[in-house]
Parts: sequence; C-alpha cells; structure tokens
Amino acid sequence: MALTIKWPETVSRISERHIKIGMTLAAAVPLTIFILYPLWAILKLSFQHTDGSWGVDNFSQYFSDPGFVKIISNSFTVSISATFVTIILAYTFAYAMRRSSIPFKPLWSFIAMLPLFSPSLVQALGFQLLLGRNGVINRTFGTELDIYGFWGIFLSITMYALPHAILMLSAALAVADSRLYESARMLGGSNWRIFWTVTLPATRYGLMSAVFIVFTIVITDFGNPMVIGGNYGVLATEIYNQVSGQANFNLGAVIGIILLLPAGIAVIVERWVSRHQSTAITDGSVPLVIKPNRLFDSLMLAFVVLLCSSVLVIIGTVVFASFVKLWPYNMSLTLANYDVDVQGGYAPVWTSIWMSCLTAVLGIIMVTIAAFVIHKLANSLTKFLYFLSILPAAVPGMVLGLGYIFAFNDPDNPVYMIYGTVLLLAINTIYHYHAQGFLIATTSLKQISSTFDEASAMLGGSFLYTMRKITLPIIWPAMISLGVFFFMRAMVTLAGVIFLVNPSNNLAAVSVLLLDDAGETSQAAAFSTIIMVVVIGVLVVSQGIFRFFKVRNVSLIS
Amino acid sequence: MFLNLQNITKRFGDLVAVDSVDLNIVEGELICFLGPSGCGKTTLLRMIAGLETLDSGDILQNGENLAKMPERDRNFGMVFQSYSLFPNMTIGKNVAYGLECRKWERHQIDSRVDEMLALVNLEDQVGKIPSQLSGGQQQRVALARALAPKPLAMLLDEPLSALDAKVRSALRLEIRKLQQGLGITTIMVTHDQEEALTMADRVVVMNEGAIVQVGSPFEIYDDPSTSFVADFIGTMNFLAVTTLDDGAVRLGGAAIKCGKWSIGTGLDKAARLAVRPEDIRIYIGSTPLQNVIEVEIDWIEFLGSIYRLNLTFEFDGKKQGLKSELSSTLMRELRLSVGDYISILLPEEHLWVYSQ
Ligand SMILES: Nc1ncnc2c1ncn2[C@@H]1O[C@H](COP(=O)(O)OP(=O)(O)O)[C@@H](O)[C@H]1O
Ligand SMILES: [Mg+2]
Repeated sequence: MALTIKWPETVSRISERHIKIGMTLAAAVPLTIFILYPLWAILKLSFQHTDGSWGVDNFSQYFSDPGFVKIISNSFTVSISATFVTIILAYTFAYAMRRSSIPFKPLWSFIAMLPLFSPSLVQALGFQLLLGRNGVINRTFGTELDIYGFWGIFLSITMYALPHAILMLSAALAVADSRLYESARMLGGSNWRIFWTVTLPATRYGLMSAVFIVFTIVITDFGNPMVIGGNYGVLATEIYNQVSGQANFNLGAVIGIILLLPAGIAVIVERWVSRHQSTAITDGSVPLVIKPNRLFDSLMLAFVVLLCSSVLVIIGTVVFASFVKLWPYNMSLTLANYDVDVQGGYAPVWTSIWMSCLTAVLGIIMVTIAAFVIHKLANSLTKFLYFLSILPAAVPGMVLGLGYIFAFNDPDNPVYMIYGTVLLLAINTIYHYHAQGFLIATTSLKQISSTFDEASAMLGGSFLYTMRKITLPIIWPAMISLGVFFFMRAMVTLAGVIFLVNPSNNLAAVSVLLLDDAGETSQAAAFSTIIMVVVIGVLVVSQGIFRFFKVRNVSLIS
Repeated sequence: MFLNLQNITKRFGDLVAVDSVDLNIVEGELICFLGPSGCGKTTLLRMIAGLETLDSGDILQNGENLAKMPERDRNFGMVFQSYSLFPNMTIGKNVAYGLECRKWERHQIDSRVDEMLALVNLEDQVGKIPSQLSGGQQQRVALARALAPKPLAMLLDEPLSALDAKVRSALRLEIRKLQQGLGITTIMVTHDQEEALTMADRVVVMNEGAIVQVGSPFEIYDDPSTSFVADFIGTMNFLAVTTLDDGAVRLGGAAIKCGKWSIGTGLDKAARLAVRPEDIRIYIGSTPLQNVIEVEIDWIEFLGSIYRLNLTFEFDGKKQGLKSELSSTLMRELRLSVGDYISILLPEEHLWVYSQ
C-alpha cells in the first residue's frame, strides 16, 4: 500500500514533489554507481580480449585448461561437503537451543557465534596452529598429519559458516504451534516420528534458505582457502592469484563471472523459497512449551558442549598463540607479538576502526534512505531499486571488489577522486553487505506504521515534532543495531576489500592474511585477537546501552 | 449545519473510491458511514480529516472551506482501527501529546490527562505503556487521547473491529454515552450493521463509492430505498416475481399485492419481491385469502427465543426458498415439523418490489 507522507508545513505542495524526486535520486544514484556499474564493468571485461577485441575467447581459454576446470570441481566438492555438514551440525545445535531444556543456553549461543566476530581466516589460522606442519600436534607427537588442502578448507570453512546457519535455523525453529504437536501425540506419534512429520516440514523453508545461504558463504569465502588451501585451488583463491599475482584482469573477470553464477543462483532460489515462509503461525497458535526429557537433554547437552569446545579450542588456540614466544617450540608467554614491527605496526588496526566507523555511519544513512524510498515512496522506479538493493547478496565480495577496480581505477571516472582512500573501502563494504543491512532497515521502518505519523498530525504535531517525539525514539535501537552490523562486518571483511587496500591504508583483516603469508603466524594471531576484542567490545557496549534504555526485541547479531 | 460535503470525488488511478458525495452533518450527532469493505468509507473519512486530498468538491465547516487547512489545524480528534498509540510513551504521555502540541501549561495538561483517563475509567493505568494494556483498554486510551484537546469533532475509523465480541458491545455503549455526554459531533466508519444501527443517530449507507441512502437506523431498516440497502441491512428474502397491474406481482401461481414499490408499475416485468423473515405470518384459516401461499418446511433451526424455518415452494418446475422466524411459544402451539405443508401470509404493507 502506498503510504502518504506528511511534509513540513513550510514545504509547499509543488516542492513536495521535488523532495520525493530528490530522495528517489539519493537512493538510486549510489545504488547504480556502486552496485550496478562495477558489475557491468566486470561483465564487460570478461568478454574483452587482451588486444581489445570482443568475444568469448576468455571463457573458452579458461574451460579448455584442465587445471582451471579442476579448480571449479574443487570448489564445488569442498563447498557442497561443507554445506552438508554445516547444516546438520547447525540444525542439531539450533534444535538443542530451541527444543530442549539444557542449561546455560545463552552461553552456548555466544560461543557458537564467536567465528562471526573475527575475519573468516581465523578458523584456518587456528587449524594451522593445531594441525599444520609446525602445528602443536605434529610437533608434539611427531606425526605427519597434513591439514593443507581439502580437509583444511573443509574444517575451517564449516566452522566459519556455522554461526550463520545457526542464526537462520534458530529463527526457523523458534516458532512452533503446540497444537500441532499435541494432535500428533494424540494420534500416537513417537517423538522420532513427530520430528519427521511435524518439525522438519514446518522448518523446511528455513532449512532450504539456510542451505543456499551457507553454500554462498562457503563457495565465496577467500580467507580460509588462502591460509590453509595448500595446492587445492578454489575459485576464490584463483581470482586473487590471477589478479594480484599475474595481473591477468580479463581472466580474473571470467572467474568472477563463474563465481557469480552459483552464488547468484543460490540467492535467487533462496529468495524464492523465503517468500513461501512464515505463514505457518496464525494468531490462534499456542507457543510450544518444552518439557524436560532426561535422555534427550543429556544427548543434546553432550553435542552442544562438544561443538562449543571445538569452536573454543580453535579460537582459543589463536588467542593463546598470540601470547606465546615461538609457537610451538617455545610456549612461554609474552606480549612481544603485540609489538607488531612489520606491515605498518598498529596503523592497520586504526585504519580498520576508522573505516568501520565510517561504514557504520554512512551505512545507516545510505541504507535507511534506500529502505525509506523503496517502501514509502513506491513509484515505478522502486521495484528496480529493490532489486539493486538485494542484488549484493548474490555478489561475492571479491567479485564486487574486482568490479570496483575496473570501474573506478580510471582517472576519467569521478569516483577516481576517492580511489585508494578509506572512504571507498567503507563504500565498498556498505554495498557488499547492502542486502542484509537493507533487510534490517526495512524491518525497523515497518515498525513505524504510517498511522503513527497520521495520529500525530491529527493531534496537531508538526513534521519535525513527530520526527523528534515519535519516529526517532521508536527506531533508534534498530538504527544502532544496523550500525553495529556494519561495524562488525567492516572490521572482519577481507574478500571485498582485498583488491582495494594499499600500503598506506591497510586494514587489520588484510594484515592478518599478509602476516600469515609472511610466516609471522604469532603476529597474525595477535592481530586477529585485537579484531575480536574490538568487535566484542562494541557489541558489549551496545548491549549495555540497550540494557540501560530498557530496549528489548532488538537483536545485535544478524 | 456543522459540516457540509459538496460533490466530493476521489480517485486512485482508475478506481473511483468516492463518487460525487453530498452530505450534511449536523452539530452534535453521531453519524455512521456503513457499507461493505472497500466501498470508500475510510477514504471519505480521511478526506474530512485532511489526511487525503480531494480530487473535486468542497468541504465546508460552518460555511468555511477546509480545502487549504492542513489536518493538524482542523482540530478533529481521530481514532484509528489499529489504536496507533505511540509505543514509546506511557498512557499519560499519549493522552498529553495533543496538549503538548498545543503548548498547554504543564499543570493544565496534568489535570486534563487525569480528567480524560477518569472519563474512560483508566486512571490507574497512567504510567503503563500501551503494550501492557488489553485491546479494549488501548482503544479507550485512544479515545481519551483524541478527546483531550477538546476537538470540534471526533472521527472513528472502525474503532471496534479489532476487538472481540464481548469487549466490542461494552465499548459500543461506552462510546455512545461518552459522545452524548460531551455532545460532540462524531463520524464513525463501520462495516458492521449492528454497530451502526445501535449507535448512530443517522446512518449513511454507501456502496461503490456513492451514498445509497441516508436516514435514521429505523428508516433504513424499515424502508430501504434500494435492494442493496434491503439486502445489506438485516436479513431479507428475495423472490423472483413478474409484475401485474394494480400494485400486485405474480409469485408462482398466486397474485400478491405489494405495498412498497421502488419501480414503476407495468405489465410482465421481471422483478424482485423482498420480505423480512419476521414479517412472514403463518395462516391457519382454511378460506383462501389474498397474499397467502402454500409452502413446505424444508428445515427448522432452533435459535433459543426464536425458531428459523427454511421454507420452499415450487412452480413450473422452479423452486424458490425463503426464511421465516417464529417465536418459540408459537412454534410450541403449532407443532410444526420438517416436511409439513403450511400456508403463509405475506403482509402487503411489508412487501417491497425492486427491479431485477
Ligand atoms: N492509497 C490508496 N491507493 C490506492 N487505492 C486505494 C487507496 N486507499 C484506498 N484505496 C482503494 O479505494 C477503495 C476504497 O477504500 P476504503 O476507503 O479504504 O474502503 P472502506 O474503508 O470502505 O473499506 C478500495 O478499493 C481501496 O482499495
Ligand atoms: Mg476502511
């Protein structure tokens, strides 16, 4: 439904139209420049030969090379395996959180979320420290375990994708109509049977969405295969090698397009699936009351403890290694690793924090404008703007980053003015995560039913008075959580910005990769720890603010 | 005349939501816009409120044109279907909102808030937030909030439709008493005829954007001007008939004299005969009489104080049915059962003839 908006009194009827046009442009122009144009640039380049002529030679060259084809099959093998295992683990974990009566649930949830608070490659770093050539296991027991390759990627990427999947599946399992369960039990169904006939079907859409989202996360992840992939090449690392290693931009564009396809298809299917979601619960639904069950609860607790320990061991190893003199030979404690002497010292941390703040502030503004225009102005353009807004969900960070090189590393383009600056890094991060941010903003805008504006106007409130007394007080917590979301992503993102950083504005997450690459594993661990501390610190502070103002129902992790 | 609506039209694209409406609203009355969902009631109310612009026509308030006056200056109190209490404010703050917008003195605001909450019996809820109240309580707060700034008129858009039946009938009475006590002109929108008939001084029946009939609840029930009103208000039987001359119609094999005609008389036109269930009488005599027909009892429903009978009759292979209502006492005396044939009298003065 189209909502009418009340403009300030001073605004005459004619300029009301102008304001609407202005706002639509404020949403449309950046979406076009920072999403559509870079993708167009990458598409164009993939069809352009090194001599400047056009055709599909890049693609035929790519597919005729058995080495490249192997990389595609590697990517799919490891992604499908990791998706499969992630979903089973995450479903079981979410089931334990929502449908069992085990103790300390908030603690387990927090531990399982830890991988979200650090760059993806921290998982790989942890596995490397434990099981790598110079890992503590091989060194202690004299074994020759080789983690590099399929198994390394599989394990680290599974752990990295786990919290994302848990968040989605918990949401799917959170709602349940106890009447269904009662009637199933009245009909004599065993618990096992009820699970297969009631629970699983009720969560099938959430489950399918999670499968596709996890697949996208896994196939586009770059940090983990970089660190622990060894000779097992995958698409994401191959782009990096082609572009950064061999400066073969055309081939990089081709791989980008190949990577865009599965991720794009996965996201389109997920969108289609999620449209069928959330009709199962009606007003008359009765929430499910969970009854304790000794055996079941013990099994669930055992599983949850095992999973959380694995996460803690991996992340704990990284944190611990950051305080160790020479892993794994000299395990005495030291702070020396925090005295970073290469890669510009602490500068990348400050750049990261500055960039993340910029991303949070600009992200709130840009995404809110887009959500506002798309949901409240509803004109012929907004359908397309909606498409642009959620398109980034299908675009791997590396592909967008590569697109930014092609689009903006060109003195003729006005954006070139900010090329190589922290501002462009922030913009890249905003549009890389635009889809999720957009959904958060939309949800919060929907909270302000248009009747609040109208009720206020009928009572004599002016536009600004309504804004100050009603709109802002209602939506600020959601705005904060949107900002926290962008801040978190900006602190840990790697894939999107890897092509855009330069030595003068390096980011902490990139430093972790470079330090690890240079063999400075302990300093990489120290940097990772700093990132985690900053992210968790921001979360704790925001949570404290929410507590203080008694804000409920606003989640900081999404 | 308090409000004067002159030839008001509103379009949404191709859809004519409100179609050339003329209406006078009298000071102090409760007037009800009644009609099926989507007929334009809300749109008309929102135009009066100033939340929607007019495509053509004028609204005059005591002779002054409201066209240029924004909603916040009209001083109408509005209650929305969804309560729309501000969720970030306490009940007291909600009620005070309109007064703060009008820059009342603090102590005046405080005493007015107390007064208004006392009026709706919610004095003890002043510090709570809206979500801690029940639906009925929230709607009463919405009323108090709308009335606090002493508005010139009160506009209610389906104020009771989100509530359950019991609360609805209690609040119906409460709103009516409040309205009469304050003597405030009130316009209420509803699709529930019972609500309109029990509460309103006058009812405006609307269909497809246009006004069909305006009158007191009794008038529109007792003398519906079109078959739409007849059908929409209360229960009505419609029977296919053809017209005869001298104010009668042919129903099956019988000639039936009808008291109320909404179409010109003429021979052999297809028409609809309308009669309310409670107006149908059982005829026990044996001599044939004008307006008596024989019917079969197809079904009997017991509804407590009354019985409802489904009656059928057949003529030329065409079957028609009608409902009638009988008091339980009469039913006991007559000992009717399904399958019985009885004679019924269709009283001339309660028979309408509408066009096909
Ligand atoms: N803002 C709008 N844009 C387009 N169509 C509308 C709008 N508001 C109402 N309508 C349409 O106008 C007609 C009348 O609506 P409304 O006044 O809400 O009906 P009622 O309140 O009688 O149910 C409906 O067909 C509705 O769909
Ligand atoms: Mg309505």
